[in-house]
Amino acid sequence: MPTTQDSDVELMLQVQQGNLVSFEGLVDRYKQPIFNLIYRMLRDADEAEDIAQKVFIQVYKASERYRPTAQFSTWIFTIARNLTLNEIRRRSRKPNTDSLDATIDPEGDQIPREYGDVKSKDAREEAMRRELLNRIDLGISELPENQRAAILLCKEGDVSYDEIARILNCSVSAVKSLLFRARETLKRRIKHYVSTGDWEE
Amino acid sequence: MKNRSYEDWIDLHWQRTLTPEETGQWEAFLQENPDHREEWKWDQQLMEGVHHLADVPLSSNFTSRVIRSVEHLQPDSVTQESEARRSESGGWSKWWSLPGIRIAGTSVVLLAGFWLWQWDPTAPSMVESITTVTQAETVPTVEELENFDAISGLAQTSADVDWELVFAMD
Repeated sequence: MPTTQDSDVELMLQVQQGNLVSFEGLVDRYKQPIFNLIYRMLRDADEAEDIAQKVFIQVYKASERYRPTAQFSTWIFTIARNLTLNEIRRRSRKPNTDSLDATIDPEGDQIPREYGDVKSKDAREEAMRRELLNRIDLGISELPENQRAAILLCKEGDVSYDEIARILNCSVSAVKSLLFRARETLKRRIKHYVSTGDWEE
Repeated sequence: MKNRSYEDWIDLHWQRTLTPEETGQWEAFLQENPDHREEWKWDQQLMEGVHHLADVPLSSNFTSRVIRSVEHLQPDSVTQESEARRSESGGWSKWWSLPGIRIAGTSVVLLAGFWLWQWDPTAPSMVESITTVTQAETVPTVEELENFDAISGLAQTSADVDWELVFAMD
């Protein structure tokens, strides 16, 4: 049984030997950040789950070719981003009713969210915080694809700018530029929302 | 790195938690540049908001579904392997496409057929039977026999009378 101390590389080397338990350990470790990323890129939970599944299947299929030269997280996020991009391109070629924004309801809280330590905060303040988080989530979904990917990879933690650059296949300075533009857009919208109560500028 | 710009500091905040030393430097930076304080409030709000976005609920059976899919992959890979092996060993069709091999192969088959024909002990009698059959006169068809005109058209026996035989009988 894999432990949290086992590094990703150790687990992958065991997967190469055909160890399915180690593979299960990797799936458990990465399923949530991978799914978060794909869902927030596509805004379609069913499709996001299918793609997340494909990501792990691809990892398993390619395990024999895996060499521990790069971080495992870089590798798996690259696969996730590429498969998601393929889906985005497929949808843009064949637009249908399930558009990227079809499931976004600016007024609704479509995903049940849980926040820690609610009791210690004023209910009104908490409600406002939740509302702002919803708006930020919405704002991220409206960013251009590469800015969205950069900021979501930042959010998933433990992904350095160097890794983001490798995943997005660009330079570190390009990553900084993407993040700067994404932050500026989101800050501008937050300022507008806080001062007017309206998200749309 | 003491001469960080405001954007460098923000990048650092986004990447990781500052060390105590860095925190001191950051606070000193804000004191030296009070015009960034207001902007920092918004940056802080955005950063916290993004980092506190909740996990998107994922099916509870996700892991087992992935494992099941991977287990289903195993026979496929075995099949692919065996197919690959089969195509490697059964590469005769690739050889057959070579003209020299084709001509030689065809010649061998024809020679073998000729030799078999020569060797067959019943072959001469078969040839004789076939010759007899082909030389036999054709028999009128059933239609011809039912048709009177056709019957009368058939070759008749000679009309000459054998008088010697007639007298002898008398």
